[in-house]
Amino acid sequence: MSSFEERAKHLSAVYYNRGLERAGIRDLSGAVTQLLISLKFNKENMDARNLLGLIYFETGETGSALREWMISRNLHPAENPAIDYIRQVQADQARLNAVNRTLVEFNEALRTCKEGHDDVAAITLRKVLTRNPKLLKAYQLLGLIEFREGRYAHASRTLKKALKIDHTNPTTLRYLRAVEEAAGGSSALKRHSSKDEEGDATTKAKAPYPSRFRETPAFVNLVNVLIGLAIGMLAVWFVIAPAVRKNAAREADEKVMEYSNVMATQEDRITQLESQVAEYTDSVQNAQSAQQNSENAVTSYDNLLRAYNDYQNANYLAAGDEIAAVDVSLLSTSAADIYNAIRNAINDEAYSLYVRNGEEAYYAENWPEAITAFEHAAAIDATDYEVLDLLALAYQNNLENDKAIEAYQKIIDTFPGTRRAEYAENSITALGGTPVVNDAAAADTEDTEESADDETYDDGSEDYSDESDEYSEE
Amino acid sequence: MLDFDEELKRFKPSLDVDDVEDTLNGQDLTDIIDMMNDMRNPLNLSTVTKEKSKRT
Repeated sequence: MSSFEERAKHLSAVYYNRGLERAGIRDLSGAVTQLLISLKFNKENMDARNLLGLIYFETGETGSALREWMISRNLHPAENPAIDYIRQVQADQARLNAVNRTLVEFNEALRTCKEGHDDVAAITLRKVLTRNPKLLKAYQLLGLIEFREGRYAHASRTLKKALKIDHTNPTTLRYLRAVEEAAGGSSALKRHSSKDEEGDATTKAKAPYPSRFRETPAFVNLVNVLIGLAIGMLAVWFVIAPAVRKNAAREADEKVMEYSNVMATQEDRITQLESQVAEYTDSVQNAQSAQQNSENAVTSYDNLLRAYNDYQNANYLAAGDEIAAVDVSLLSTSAADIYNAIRNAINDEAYSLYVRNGEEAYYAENWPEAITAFEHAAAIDATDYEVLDLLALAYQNNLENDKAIEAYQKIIDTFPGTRRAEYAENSITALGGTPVVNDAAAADTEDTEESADDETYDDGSEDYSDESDEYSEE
Repeated sequence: MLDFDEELKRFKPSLDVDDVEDTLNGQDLTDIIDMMNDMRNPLNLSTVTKEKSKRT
């Protein structure tokens, strides 16, 4: 249900309550006005329509009462008091026919009155009121006719009977005031009036008449009804725009929530896929690593076999290169044992050959071959000072000072704190480099190496001095 | 002072019980909710318009 429907039903209920309140003080015409407005707001207001039927029934308008109750029954076929009202009225068919005849006769009286036969109409109306004493319109029409005939006392009496049915009926009150004004100081009216004073006093005590309602003509009531409807429509209209905006905002919020949920789901899915991709990437890398290890292992086994074969054929240099290319960590335990057994033998043979070849090339001043031979020898045994020293000199003679400095630095690192290291430092300095000396290592080894240095000096001190002289000459 | 003829014109005939069911079909029960629904749905044929056309 939309907001304006709720608002309209609420207003309908408000006007129904007002109508009920007016009916409670027997302001039947006022109640009818309120109930008609209530039904204009909400035609399905069952209570309002049923009460309107009851008021019509109370004023003798049985036909109108049945019409409202039947509409009510059609709109609300279940649990509707109107069903019982209709059943009760139609149960006494003779009574219903009698009442219906009074309505027909009233219509006939009205027609004859309009045709100018007031006396006939008055007689008919009196008969009608005898059988249907609640028919308010009959009292009013009869009072009007009696007023026209100058029978003010009768008119007053008739109209006051009408007031007992509907205490504040504007038409009745207007007629009664006209009668009183016309009668003026008429003794007859006073006499009749005094007779009715007591009864009127009781009536007035029951419901004081609001003067404003009594004097308002019918068209004013109609204008009031239209104004009420206009105000109601404006009130409902102002409720619509906020309700529509509210609904639109709510729908937009729901859409945003829906899209947010979809995005969150998609993001979760993307995260899952990214995790899967990362797992697959790791698997591929692991597989590639395993494959590479396998290939390296095969290569190592191949080198081991070729080294052994070359060693058997006394091809020690080739065997040395091949054994150096073996990665022992990739070999099995038994293969590693074989590797360890032949490596030393191969290295011993290969080392001697490299040193011999290197010395021959060096003294033949074939520096590249000397460098190659000494490099291989140093790769097998990096603690042979002779090899390192000749390698450095070969680099120097081959004008590869950077590599010469590296070779001298290797001597410093291998023999720290010795005269060999001191000689190497001087050589690096002479080549324009900066020797790196580990003082702590030099101090640790100074004492232990001192005796060895002495032995070395015993063996080769003259050679160092000679070589130093050669560098100084250069 | 009352004008008898003018007052007489304001009296309407009472509804005959026998004619009640006949009047139900022609009864205009349009309420504000119907009118507002028509206003909100301009493409629909307006109930008010239809009722007016019936009357005319």
